[in-house]
Amino acid sequence: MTRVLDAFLLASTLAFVLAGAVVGARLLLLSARTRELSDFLVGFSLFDLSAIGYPLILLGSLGDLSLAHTKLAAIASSIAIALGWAGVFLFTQRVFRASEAWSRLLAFAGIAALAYGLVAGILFIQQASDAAALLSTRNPTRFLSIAAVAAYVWTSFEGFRCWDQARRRLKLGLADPLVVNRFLLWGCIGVSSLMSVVPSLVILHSGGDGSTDFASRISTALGGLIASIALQLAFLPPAAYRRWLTRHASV
Amino acid sequence: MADAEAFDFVCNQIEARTALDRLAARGTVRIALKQAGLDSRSVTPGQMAVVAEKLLVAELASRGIADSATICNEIASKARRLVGVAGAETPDAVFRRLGG
Repeated sequence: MTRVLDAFLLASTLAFVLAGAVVGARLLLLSARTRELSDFLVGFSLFDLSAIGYPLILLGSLGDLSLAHTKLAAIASSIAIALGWAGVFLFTQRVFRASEAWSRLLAFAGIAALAYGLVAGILFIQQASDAAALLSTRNPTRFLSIAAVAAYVWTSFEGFRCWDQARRRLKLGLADPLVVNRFLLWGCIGVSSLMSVVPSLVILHSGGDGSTDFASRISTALGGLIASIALQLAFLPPAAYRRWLTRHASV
Repeated sequence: MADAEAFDFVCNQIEARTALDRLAARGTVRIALKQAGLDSRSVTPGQMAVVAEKLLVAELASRGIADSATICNEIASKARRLVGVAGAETPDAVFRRLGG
């Protein structure tokens, strides 16, 4: 059973890394053409988290690394994921709530929590006497995960809210079915990201080990798999999927 | 952020052509916009015209306005001639572009 779960977790992680890296790179190329900050933010976040941050976390969790290399991987992955999650806050604020003062405050608070988690986390990692200490509840990098939960709750709420509004416009012929579906998928990407972050955070705070907990690993694997499928369908949809959505909307 | 020009235009037209006062006219149009999944701050003239034709007719009729279909069709036709002012980018525009 453990082997099956290991294989499932590895497959879903690789699927997420691949989908996020490809979609992120495509959106970064798009942003180079359009010169739009929103395009850059979403492309950067996706590429940074999936192609740099998560692989570095995996690298750091390999048992056969020296303490110095484990610390280096932990610091590098913390920097990468803090930047990626800051991008999620900025994208959500800029795209969904650009004119609302409270959204600027929320994004600022989220990024401040990430900055604190990163700086205090790096200092903690540098002083850690062994690899086990890095998993301690005293490790301030947990603030990164707490801020990530806020970012994903916010962005998925906005995705579902826009989906609901866009569905109504679609009935009046005022929306593109592909865009309506993209909002839904964006909400799903946020929820599936929460499935990966929340269980490990809860287990960390209850003194357990997320890397061995069955429920946490299943949730992480499913979250990664759903996110990779949703990313592909949202930003690189196959022609058959586009046709199906258009036909479904016209019916 | 202020309401869009198309929204103000339609509200003013309804206030001028019906017995509804300013508050009631704006409230009625806001209800129609909500049903359409649109925002009074970012609605375009084209979107406002469709809402007037397809949703506002019933809203005005339910408030006892006679011949609401004719009124709404005329307002829609005038709204279409408005020149839309480019405002802040909507989530729709961003997500359309991200699809490539």
